[in-house]
Amino acid sequence: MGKYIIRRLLWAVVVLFFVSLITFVIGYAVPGDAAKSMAGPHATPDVLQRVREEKGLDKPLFVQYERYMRDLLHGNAGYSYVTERPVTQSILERFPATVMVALYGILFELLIGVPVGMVSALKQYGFRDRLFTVLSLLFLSMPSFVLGMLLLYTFAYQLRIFPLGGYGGWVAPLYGVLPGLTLGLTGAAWYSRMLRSSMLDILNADYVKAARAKGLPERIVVWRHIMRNAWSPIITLIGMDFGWFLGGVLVIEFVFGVPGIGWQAWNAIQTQDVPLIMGTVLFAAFAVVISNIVVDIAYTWLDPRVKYS
Amino acid sequence: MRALPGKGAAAAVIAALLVAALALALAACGGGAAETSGGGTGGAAEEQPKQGGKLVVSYLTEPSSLDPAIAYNVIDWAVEWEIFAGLLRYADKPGEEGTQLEPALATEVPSVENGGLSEDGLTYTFHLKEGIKFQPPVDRPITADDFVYTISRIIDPKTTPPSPGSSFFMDIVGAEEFAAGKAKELSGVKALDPHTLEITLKSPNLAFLHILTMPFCSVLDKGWVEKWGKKINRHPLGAGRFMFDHWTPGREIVLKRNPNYWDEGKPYLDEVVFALSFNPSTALLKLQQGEVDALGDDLPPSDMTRMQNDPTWKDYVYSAPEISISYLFLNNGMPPFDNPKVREAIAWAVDRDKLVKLKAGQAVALYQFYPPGMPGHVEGKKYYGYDPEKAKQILADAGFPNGFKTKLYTDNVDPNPKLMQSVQADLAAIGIEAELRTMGNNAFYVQQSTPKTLTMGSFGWWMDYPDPSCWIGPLFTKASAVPGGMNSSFWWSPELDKAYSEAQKMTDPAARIEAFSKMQDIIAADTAYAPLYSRITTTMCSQNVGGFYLHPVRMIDLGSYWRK
Repeated sequence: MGKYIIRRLLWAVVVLFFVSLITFVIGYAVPGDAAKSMAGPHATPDVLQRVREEKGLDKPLFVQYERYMRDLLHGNAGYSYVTERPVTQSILERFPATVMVALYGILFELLIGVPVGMVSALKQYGFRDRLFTVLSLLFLSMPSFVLGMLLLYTFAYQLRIFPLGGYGGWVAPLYGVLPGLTLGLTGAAWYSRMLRSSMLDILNADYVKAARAKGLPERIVVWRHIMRNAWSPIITLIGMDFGWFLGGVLVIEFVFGVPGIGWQAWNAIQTQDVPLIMGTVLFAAFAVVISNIVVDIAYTWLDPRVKYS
Repeated sequence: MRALPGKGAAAAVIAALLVAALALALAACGGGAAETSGGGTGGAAEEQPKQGGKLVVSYLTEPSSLDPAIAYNVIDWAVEWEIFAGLLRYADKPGEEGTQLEPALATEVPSVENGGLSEDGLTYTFHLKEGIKFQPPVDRPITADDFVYTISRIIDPKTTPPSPGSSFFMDIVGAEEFAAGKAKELSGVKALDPHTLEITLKSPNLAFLHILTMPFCSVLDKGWVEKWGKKINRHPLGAGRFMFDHWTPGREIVLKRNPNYWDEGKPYLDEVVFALSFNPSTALLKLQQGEVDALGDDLPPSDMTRMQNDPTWKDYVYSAPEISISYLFLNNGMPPFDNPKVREAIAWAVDRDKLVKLKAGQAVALYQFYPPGMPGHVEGKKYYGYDPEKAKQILADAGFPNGFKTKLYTDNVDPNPKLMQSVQADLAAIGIEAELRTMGNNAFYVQQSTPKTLTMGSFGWWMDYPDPSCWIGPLFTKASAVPGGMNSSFWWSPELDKAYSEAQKMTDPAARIEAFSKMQDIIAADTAYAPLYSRITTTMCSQNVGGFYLHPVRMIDLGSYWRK
């Protein structure tokens, strides 16, 4: 197991390396001129040249990349071109807001998706199953900014239950509820569909029949025999979603005024602030890679048959 | 100033989607927006200003820097106007009066009459008001030496990053030598005594007073700047109406009343808050609920129509013309746009009223080169009109009776592609088949200033200061028709360059503006660009705001508002 984790981590390094390479090339290859956006429309050629030299933009791309990677390996992700602040600091100070939304998102996905999926599977083709099918389709097809705005308007503006957008730090957890619910409703639609189909596969399995035949209470049949086996696809989804959410979901952050890393990355793209773009992309990629590893480890715990070597 | 599309347009695409979303949300909820409050009677009723309290202004983006030498975005300046002060300032008034200079830290606006400006127009002498102190904790009287330091810092090659405003100050004696590192100090700026500052220029330039009034010249304390080093961009301290309290990244910037402020009775507020990261649609909901008092960004068009028809809120919607121009550049370096007749035909072919409609009325059709509000603008003057027949005729005279094929470029910031589709149709009507190409605004910004790259396209310019020299210089001269310059038509004429440099040397303000006004004839005779429209800003305040208006230069003007 230990060996397996080490191997996965090494692969993660390889993945991150390629992500960094691709992002770097795209960051500079797109038409545009970072020096010009920094120096402004009135900059004289001298000033432009000074900016280029100061940021090393006058060097060939591979030299710039090598320099960037060397700094990165020494724990220095560089400075934002626009704010002149350390990239690591810029990301970390905005990360808590993103994490809060991500956690709420996962929480709502599970709180809504799991019961709905279970009911749908256990009462297949019943009224509730049909109703949930329609609702799932609705939330899956509704763009998240529409859903977000609707929730904001209803629960924050009209009913005044939650704050009207913004972020108040971890001491004010209510701010994260509506953004999380927006993510969660869409995700829950996936979760419930996925859980429903994986449960339906299991419902007619011999061991479930056997469990029922030997007179086990339904509660134990469902939880110990069915759910234990139906969890795997859900765990996969959680892992993928969590990684994705930690990269900052721009649309949600935009609608709710959440100062997260997605919002910051969007601004960085607008100004061609390559160090900040690089930092955010690598950070998000790291989050995805790590949550995938955690998921794989979770499988072994859920299903003893899964063994990595 | 900056090219137009950049202004608060960061997330315009999403904003447009949001507008649609909000409309949907309102429809779904049966539209109850009007229920929340009683009848308003207008934000700016004539009442006595009240002291105390706080106001909250929402913004979509966050300043990149609050170091006056470096910051050069709309939102950066919005905060800086409140924290900093310089020698002069624009009067706290709407409309044209707000573009007039008045003394701030200086005792008077220098002129030949009051002896502040030498007869040859080269030497400015400023007398400083005595006893004015920097904000706490510096609390030290401001002297002429502080201005020498502040202005030198803008040009100093050791300032990092280099100031985007340095080129404005190259008229000062010794500026080029200092910028090139050949001189130890800026010889043209001297402190004659603690309260007298003398600035000498190489050639006369009446616009220099406006240049000194841009936030670049906000007076700074050397000790404070050196104390914070690289972090000075997040620790502003000046002599303005409010002093910096704190900045929570992505969330808010809070300013408190400056106890050392020198203008009797002002500001009225104890505290102002810049609430960051709020898109205008969400901010509007907050405003209606009383959490936000003014929108720092434009009201989205669909919200605007809704608010203007809402009995509760219609009196709180404010509009003001922006001193800006949106135009079609016609690249003089690429045939057939090197033919003035072709350029003229295009200027006659575009239906500007349709563009104004597409912008939901938030623009004024423009048939000359100075927008309303810019000195030199001639009321009612039309060099062009909308006349497809005439345009066709001119095009035929130019040797293209059947038109030609070309490309029309724009950035992808809403609503520009939509507007250019309309222009595309207008051009098709006179036989010009223009293929519409859109690109990201950064790429577009760089390519429009690369010679022989883009044939024609839409671009814009926003004033740095209300003087026509900031129009002619960057857009219409030979010096600006270079890679990296803003003359995206790459058009210039010896006649205009001469008229410009002569006008810049004039010391009689009225004659100078007259000369600038006449330059439009030279530009129009050759149709350097096809002017399209100038923009109107529309925003809202809440019922809590007293004295609300939009300043022609600063827009939101927190130092003049009070809390009811």
